[in-house]
Amino acid sequence: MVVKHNKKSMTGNDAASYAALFAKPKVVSAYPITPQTTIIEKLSQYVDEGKLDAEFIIVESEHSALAGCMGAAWSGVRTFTATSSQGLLYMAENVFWSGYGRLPIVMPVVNRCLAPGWSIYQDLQDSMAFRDAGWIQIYTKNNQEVFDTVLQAFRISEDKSIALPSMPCLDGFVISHTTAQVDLPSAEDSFNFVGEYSDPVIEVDTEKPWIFGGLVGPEKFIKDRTDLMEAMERAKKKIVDMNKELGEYFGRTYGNGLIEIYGDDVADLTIVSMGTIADEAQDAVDKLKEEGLSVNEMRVRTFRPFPEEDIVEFAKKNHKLLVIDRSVSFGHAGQLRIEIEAVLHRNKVDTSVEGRIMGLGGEDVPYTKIVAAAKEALRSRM
Amino acid sequence: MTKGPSSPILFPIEGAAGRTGDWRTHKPVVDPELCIKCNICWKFCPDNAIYRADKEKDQIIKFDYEYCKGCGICASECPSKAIKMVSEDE
Amino acid sequence: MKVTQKDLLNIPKKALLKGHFACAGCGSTLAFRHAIGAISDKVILVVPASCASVYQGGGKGAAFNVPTINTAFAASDAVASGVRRAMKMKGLDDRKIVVWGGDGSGADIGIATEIGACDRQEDILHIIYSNNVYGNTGGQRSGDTMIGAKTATTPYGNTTPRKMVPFIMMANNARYVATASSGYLEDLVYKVKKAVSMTGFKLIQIDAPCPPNWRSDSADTVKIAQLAVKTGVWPLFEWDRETNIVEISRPSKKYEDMNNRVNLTEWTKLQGRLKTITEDQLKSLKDDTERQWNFIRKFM
Repeated sequence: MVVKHNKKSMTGNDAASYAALFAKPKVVSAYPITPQTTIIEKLSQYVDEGKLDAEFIIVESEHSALAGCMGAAWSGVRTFTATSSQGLLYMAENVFWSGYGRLPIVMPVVNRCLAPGWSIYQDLQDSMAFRDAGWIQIYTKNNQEVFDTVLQAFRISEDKSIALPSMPCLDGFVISHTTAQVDLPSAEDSFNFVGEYSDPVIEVDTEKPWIFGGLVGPEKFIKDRTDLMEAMERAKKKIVDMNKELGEYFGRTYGNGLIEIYGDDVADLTIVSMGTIADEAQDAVDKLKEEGLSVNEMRVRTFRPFPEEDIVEFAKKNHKLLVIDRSVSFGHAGQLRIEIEAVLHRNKVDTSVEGRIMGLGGEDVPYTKIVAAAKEALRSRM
Repeated sequence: MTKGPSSPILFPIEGAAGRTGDWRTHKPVVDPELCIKCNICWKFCPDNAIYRADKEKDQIIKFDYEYCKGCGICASECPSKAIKMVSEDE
Repeated sequence: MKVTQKDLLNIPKKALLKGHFACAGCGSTLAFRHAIGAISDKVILVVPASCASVYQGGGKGAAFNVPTINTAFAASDAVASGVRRAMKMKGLDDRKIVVWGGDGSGADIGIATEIGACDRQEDILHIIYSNNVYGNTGGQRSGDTMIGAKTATTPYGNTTPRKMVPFIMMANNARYVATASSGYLEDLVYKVKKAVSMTGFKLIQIDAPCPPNWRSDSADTVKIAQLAVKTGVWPLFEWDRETNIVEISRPSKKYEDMNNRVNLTEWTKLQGRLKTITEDQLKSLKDDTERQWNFIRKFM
């Protein structure tokens, strides 16, 4: 089924709130933080105008924003919130609690750097700090993908065999506050894609006196964590399926859902990155090709679960990777680079890897900078 | 229906902490002559370990020694001093 | 609506099963058994990190016989809000969403969340069983610790007055606020039943003696709780937003008059934590008690 196209101009945040509106969550629990705020502002407006039949909980902190969603998720209803930066950090224990507690919450993170000094601009330091929290993390490249990914996120999270919260990530301002064209399906078509949340992962009620999250011994603890690991593995297939289904419904796909390749299948240099830098890198690839250089690009769309097989398969046939990180694990390196090096080593792939940290604190990363970095990397190639 | 996730869910059972009667150093003993079947001991038992008295059936209270931790609240609250705490060693 | 001992016998189902993990003579489980038992057919419990997250059991099963969600220390009232709103969307308004936690969460780490839920007038009941310390972690001072009490972090006696959560909630538009005691269970059950019959945020704070941390004889739990009322140090009252009137509860009535009060040392001498209370501390405990009574009197 391919639906009617309806091109509209909107910001990335608007795209996220449209997707949430169309998915019809029953409880939205939220707290403002720049640059996320306009997502939840719109939703409160939809609720007040009667366009969205939901309870909107205006909480006093991000810690409570996510806790409100957790209460709703435990009660077996669809739930949504969004946050950024310090807000995500303030939620921290609940982020882990809902991941390890297998609660299907959808929470876009509008990526913004962490203080000090104060900066409201984009880098990925915030969500990267939560890669171990048991959440699905999908990094988007533009407004259209934000809309599509939020819709997909409900499907992925609410799948009973997966039951993990989702964090669609979008770069602050570059996506969140920048108006771009989005092909917006109708509310009905969008809801058809998402579907009812009719077979809840979990549902507390008086008829079922179960006790959630009490004391457990190591055996049960390890069983639960092992299941979480396996659920992440199952999520990979689900994300690929969702990508195909998105194509069938709306005529759009993002690579295979896990990674997206741009340019030739084999090149002298492969630029690897995430988010909007990856989008900009496509222009860099075009520019470099014009100059007769052999460069392609791999965008890591899904960071959790980490698409080991897909990355290895592509890296194997290429010669050198230039991994651009927009975040740092201090005392080591950029997280994306660390993880790529790990999977290449584990799979005995000797494609060389060079890392660059770019765009911290909202630093602009135009394609020209990526071109320069790529040329340098090509020069240093053995 | 698909199977849900493996998560830390417990179900209610008696004896979640095992036979808590084993914690006891002193056990309550009721004197049938003195018990006035008022059930005050039953009311104040934090361990739910007293079977209440029934005046109509002329039944006095009874202790569930499997779970009674021997805190002694029943003995100190008994208005007719019908309950004594007796050492488990005796 | 008067509750008698007979009413305590007739509960929908047992909320607390035998063989739980609480210490012998636990005032909190005693209160739980009756308070939650009285509403056990419709209750959904939300439990922050507390003694209650331990004494509910674990491993092979739980001693709580009602649906329970365990949450992070400071998250309970917001989780309860989420549950309440979800139940509303599902048309299940008759469910009683109850937070059951200690004073560590209720008076300290969770108080922002609690005031938040109160401010939103969420339809939940928050019950604080106050053992006056961080009980689970070995008895450190909390915002609700009595003046003079030795705790793991106030080895020479706590010097500052209790943070009065009931008053804070009265000032923040709660629907109903009450204090209660493990020593007066009929009064407690009456207040719990009354609270859940109202819509909005309700708070009940229960004096729950803790033998290991109060260094008291486990057999004295009820006696100590009753003495706290008789000495006036734990006034039992209820406040209703509609009338803005405080009513002194029956067990406390006589002790509003200072002349009727039992000497405070009768209460302190039963507790190791208060045995070493200094003259100065005793005086400031008395002053603080009077300060509480004076606050209450303004609403009478």
